[in-house]
Amino acid sequence: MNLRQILFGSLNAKLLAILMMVALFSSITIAVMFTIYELNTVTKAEQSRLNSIANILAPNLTAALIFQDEVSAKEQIKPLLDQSNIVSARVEDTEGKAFVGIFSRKNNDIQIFTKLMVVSIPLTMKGVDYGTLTIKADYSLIEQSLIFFSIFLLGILALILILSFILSLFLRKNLIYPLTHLATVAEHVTKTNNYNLRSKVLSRDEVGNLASCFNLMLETIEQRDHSLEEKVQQRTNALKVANSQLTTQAFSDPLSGLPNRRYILDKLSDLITQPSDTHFAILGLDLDGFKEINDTMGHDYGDLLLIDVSRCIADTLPTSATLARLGGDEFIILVENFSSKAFINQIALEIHHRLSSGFSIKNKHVYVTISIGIAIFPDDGNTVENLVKYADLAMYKSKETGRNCHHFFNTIMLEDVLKKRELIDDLRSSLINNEFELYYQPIIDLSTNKIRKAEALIRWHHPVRGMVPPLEFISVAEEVGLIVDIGEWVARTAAQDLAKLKKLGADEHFQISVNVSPIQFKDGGQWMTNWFEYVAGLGLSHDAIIVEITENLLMESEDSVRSQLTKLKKQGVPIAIDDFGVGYSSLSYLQKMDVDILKIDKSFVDDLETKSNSRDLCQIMIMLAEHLSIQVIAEGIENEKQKQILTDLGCQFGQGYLFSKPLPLALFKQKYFDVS
Amino acid sequence: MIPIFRRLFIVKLLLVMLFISQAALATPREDAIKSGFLYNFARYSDGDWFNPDIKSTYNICSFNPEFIVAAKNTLKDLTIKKRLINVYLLTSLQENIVDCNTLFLSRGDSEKWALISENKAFINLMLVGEFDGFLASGGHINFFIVGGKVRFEIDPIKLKNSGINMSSKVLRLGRIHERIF
Repeated sequence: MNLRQILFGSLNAKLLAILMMVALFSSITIAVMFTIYELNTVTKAEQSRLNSIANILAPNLTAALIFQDEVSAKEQIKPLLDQSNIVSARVEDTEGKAFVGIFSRKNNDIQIFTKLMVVSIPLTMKGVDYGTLTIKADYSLIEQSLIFFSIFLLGILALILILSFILSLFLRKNLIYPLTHLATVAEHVTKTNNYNLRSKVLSRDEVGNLASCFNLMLETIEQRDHSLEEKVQQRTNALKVANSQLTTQAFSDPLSGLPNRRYILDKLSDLITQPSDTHFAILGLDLDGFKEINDTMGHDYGDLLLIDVSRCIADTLPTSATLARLGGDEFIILVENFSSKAFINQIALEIHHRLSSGFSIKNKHVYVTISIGIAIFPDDGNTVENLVKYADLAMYKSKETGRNCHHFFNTIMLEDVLKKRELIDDLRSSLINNEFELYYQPIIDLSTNKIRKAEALIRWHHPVRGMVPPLEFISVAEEVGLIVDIGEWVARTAAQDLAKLKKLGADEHFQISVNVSPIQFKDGGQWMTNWFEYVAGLGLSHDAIIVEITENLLMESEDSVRSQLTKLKKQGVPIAIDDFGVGYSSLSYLQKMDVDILKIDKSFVDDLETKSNSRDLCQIMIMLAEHLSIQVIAEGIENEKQKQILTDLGCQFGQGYLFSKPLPLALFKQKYFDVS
Repeated sequence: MIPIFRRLFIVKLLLVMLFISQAALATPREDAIKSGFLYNFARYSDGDWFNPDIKSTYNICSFNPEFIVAAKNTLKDLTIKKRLINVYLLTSLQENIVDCNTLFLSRGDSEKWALISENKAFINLMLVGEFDGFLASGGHINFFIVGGKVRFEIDPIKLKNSGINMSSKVLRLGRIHERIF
């Protein structure tokens, strides 16, 4: 701490220092002034005294000088040496010659004024100058006087300083203490944030006013503090509630109230990371046909069904199991520390059993089944992702095997998936590698036995797999969307081949039919525009290519698909219904859609010879088509008897191995257009 | 080189010659001093003995011609109360000494003084002498030599009686004559 901090570190010290400095400065100034004044006064007085002495002596000394009476003159000046400060006296004539003189060596202790004071007066008699009296004196008397005066002043100075100090103490008590008290309280409030503290009002001046204002300010702050605390408490409670709600929402499904995906995945992750010998099973559940229920009965029914299914499943579960809803109609069940697979199997069976009784929703009885896939930790996988994925694979297996059943995961499922992925990869490169080929199966006019149409059937020549039948890859192509590109290739190739056949002399009305997947209509039917331009470029009319769609497509498709079919129809493209009679066989679409051809499914033709009802059904279908002016093609004719029956029933066209199996274009041309 | 003894002889001879010359010149110098004293006695004195309003000169008289010569030289152009000093040689006792303001009686004038002062009081005349018994015989101031220096003795009462108020400054310098009443 330096001197400045000591002197001016606090108000007390400042006031004390200022007062003392003012007192000291004033005292010193006054002392100096008085000293100078005293010095002048004393000096003048001494000079005056010496002058007086000289003037007293002068007349007699003048006379002595005039009468050359040295003795008398000496007698007169000799007493001067009795004066303590007079060191010499000398009488000189007008020529400067000494008449008489005295000198004394004084032992005065002179420290300040070392010069001598000289008083010299002329010795005159009636205007005539006879000589000079010179008296020299030291400053010892003046110095003594000055020293005494200085000591006196120092005493006064000390007294003033003491009085100033006492005054500062008094001021501290009456002026500074209220201020320092206020500052202490303010500092305490700042350090402790305790706004209950108050400063004493110790004076009625500005400081007292300041203390009052400070107390009022503290009161205001305290009130605000309380108010803020209350608000903060309220908001904290609200935040806690909101946080709790958010946590609940974050980890629970709002519809069913069950734990949600995040909760169950976190829990699975926690279980897997536990070092103990944990084992558990997860059951992936998916409602069968829930989409249809949603679509037919509405989403509100769907939601209510989900709630009821959730409750129903939850009721069947043991306490060690946790049911969570992943989303949509997917659920997952976690069963911890189960005893055996049989226990899990029993749970699955119980779920199937409980669901089999159906649910009553808004007075409507709804039946729903569920497909279940089961994966076990650590036997099947050791990560959450794998376990969930394997449960899904097992669940898909249940879906594939007829739904309403459950399967435990096994590695074959994974292998199937891997194979499917390889197939997809191969499919993606097949178009680029030009691995597809169109085979053509003739459609014969049964009355003339002449070829009138042909169906283009795709074949995939894989360099490793060999010939891959359409049944193996079409569904996969549809699943991954590759069917759009493949379908466009088929349509273009068929058109291209038809153009070639026309050049080889094919009949003007000869048509080729191509199968179109529902997926091809889901992208807005852009392929059609391109295809029309392509067909026109080949010089073909729009009715040269028949578009075959399955009966299911018409039944299941949306309005947009129907509108695109209508668009095709308006462009003059004939529409054929493939596999007629095996689907829903809703005849209403025949009324809505202007269908050109019905292709009776092979299953009806197969039993023509043995089952009368097959024959009756074929007859009805043929009659129906005849009444609606729709051409009929019977598929899968394999012998003459079948052909004869169909001919007898009035069927116009036939297709099947009786006439020809599907042939490559070259063979097809050779066989039917005499190309050697 | 001059021998030491010879040099000492020359110095002694010079000193003797100087002493002789001084003894021979002592009288005029002494007279001059005394004339100065007379002048200063007059200057330090007030009273009726000299009224400058009616006198054109201040007269100093003496029967001693050597003194007169010395005094004239000494007091030439000096004034008393703005009146020139006139030094006057008295040649006979019959001369009117009443016009004198200061009468100096030298050593050789004691007999004359005896005659003059017999049964006679002098008013308005400062009487200065230089022989023994002068004051006792009615003189005011009497010179005497002490240590080769001219000193004086004064009878202030007689001075007062003669109408002369001499300054105490002078009185203090002189020896006050003690009379036996």
